[in-house]
Amino acid sequence: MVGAKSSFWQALIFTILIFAFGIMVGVKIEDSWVSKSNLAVTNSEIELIDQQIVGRVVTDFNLSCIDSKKVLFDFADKVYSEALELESYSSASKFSSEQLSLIHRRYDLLRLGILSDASSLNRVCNLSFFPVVYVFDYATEDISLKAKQLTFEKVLEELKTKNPDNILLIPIAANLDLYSVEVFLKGHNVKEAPAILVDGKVLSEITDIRDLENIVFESNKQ
Amino acid sequence: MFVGLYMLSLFVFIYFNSRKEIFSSPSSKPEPVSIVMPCYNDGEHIGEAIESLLHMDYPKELIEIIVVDDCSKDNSAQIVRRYCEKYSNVRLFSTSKNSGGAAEPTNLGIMNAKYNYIAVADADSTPEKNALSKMIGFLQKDSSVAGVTCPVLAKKPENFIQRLQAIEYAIIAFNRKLLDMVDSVYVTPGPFAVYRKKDLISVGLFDKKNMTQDIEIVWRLLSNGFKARMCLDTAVYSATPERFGQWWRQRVRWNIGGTQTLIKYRKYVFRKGMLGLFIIPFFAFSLTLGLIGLLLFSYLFVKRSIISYLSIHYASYANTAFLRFQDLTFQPTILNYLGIMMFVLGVSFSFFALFIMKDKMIGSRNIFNVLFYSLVYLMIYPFIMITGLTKLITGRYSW
Repeated sequence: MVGAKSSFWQALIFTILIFAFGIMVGVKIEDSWVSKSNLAVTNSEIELIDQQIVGRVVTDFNLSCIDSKKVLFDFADKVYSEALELESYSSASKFSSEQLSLIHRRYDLLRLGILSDASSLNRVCNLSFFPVVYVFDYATEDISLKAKQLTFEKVLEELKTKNPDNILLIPIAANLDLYSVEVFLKGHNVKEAPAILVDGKVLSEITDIRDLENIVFESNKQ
Repeated sequence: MFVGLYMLSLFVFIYFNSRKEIFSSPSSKPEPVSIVMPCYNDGEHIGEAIESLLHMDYPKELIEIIVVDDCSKDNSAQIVRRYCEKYSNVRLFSTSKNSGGAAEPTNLGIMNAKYNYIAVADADSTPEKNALSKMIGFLQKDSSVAGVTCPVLAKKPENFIQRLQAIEYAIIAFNRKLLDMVDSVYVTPGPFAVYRKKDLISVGLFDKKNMTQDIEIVWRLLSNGFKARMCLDTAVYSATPERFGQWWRQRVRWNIGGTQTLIKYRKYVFRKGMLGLFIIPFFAFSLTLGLIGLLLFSYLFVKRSIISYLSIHYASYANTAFLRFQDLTFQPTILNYLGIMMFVLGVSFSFFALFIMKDKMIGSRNIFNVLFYSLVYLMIYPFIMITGLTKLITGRYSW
């Protein structure tokens, strides 16, 4: 019986050990997510800088607009899928939220950089593609806002899938405390998230996908 | 999750620290025993129950069977009368009016008992032949032991819900023996338990107001310095509810009784030995954790449902897809991994308990039943708790 009563302490020590081990494994797994995302965002940042330098250095050469567009689109798609992966890590993270939020901020800056490059490219080359900016609230806990954002995402993804070569989808988190994003949103009169920004027009309400498609393509014709 | 893992590892450590003793029982010498059997509308089972008592491997001349009929509406009393005519050691008493519980007829039987050892038996249960001889040794060996219980196992589990109860009863029996190894038996279930008459009288007999007088009596004995023990070396087979409604009502009643007992003895927390140090916190944690789990699950479920509903509503307005592939993907968190680990360990422990109890248990122990028991059956308990608490608070409960 005395031996059995020592089970209380043995079980406590065992449980603490298992929990400590679990937390260590958890931290390790999340560290690997952070490292992976850090590597991806750093590579993307280098890629963006690389493209921007190409734009500045190679002014004398006849750089193909079509090639530049392709590079820009591929890059934007890559950044988009990396951000989705980062989002899934963020939603599952228990120990590394702060580090992952930092990476989110870097992606936000990257996407703003892509948008700026896209505008320049459109201006210089007069290409027919349409940058669509999706402004969202990062990590919102508001149920109705979450549902609304989910629908905005679905609509925009469908639009992008239907027009992969014409639509450049740029999601930007409005609340990651970035000055450049703040200025951008203020400049475009975006007062709330979620919202879709198409050629200066701000759409804050859920819109039928066909109407949105018309808005996107019509706005550019004008 | 920490508390759950702690409890699970506690049971595993208790088993490994005392595995050689769990089936042992002290030697005994036959002494006279009065078996008290409260009865209410048990005509279907009472004959078999009396027969099983009469055929135990215990000297017949040292047994008296006192059946106390609580104003049954069926033929229970007639059946018992036939046994009284045939056997001189079978006696029948009746309450003046239906008491609505087992405590009052049991107390009446105890007060009319001739002998100092009292066995309380349910009218729908049949103990193994050796039950009395195995159990009485605990009382004879240690004067501080006032109550002895044994595994209550399912009698003839025929349908699915009875097979699930058979699994549950066997696991509970194994766990109760492990609790016995740390002096923490907290119930001597009604189907078959042995007591010392003077100890029961000294603490005031069974509580007529409590819905689970078999839990309350043990807590009262423990709070008065007595011990309760569990004998795994024998068993009693008890009829189990055949339908979900009966099962639900029985569990709600157990829950109300358990909560009544917890409220009554809350003042002893961290006092009175294992009662305050372990049994009361263990009981309170089981109740609280179940409720917290249910509330948390309900909150997440409702939140998720509202988001899905709104999202589908918006998606139909926007004329876009309701679901995307990525909505179905899921990145598990470390808590999910720990939860899965806990579940696997819990199910493994259940299989282990069933393996230990395999010689006593009647009925199927197939994997599907055990998984269903772990995944679905146990998940119903928090809802039973909510119902029990509501009834207790509103005062709308009866036996």
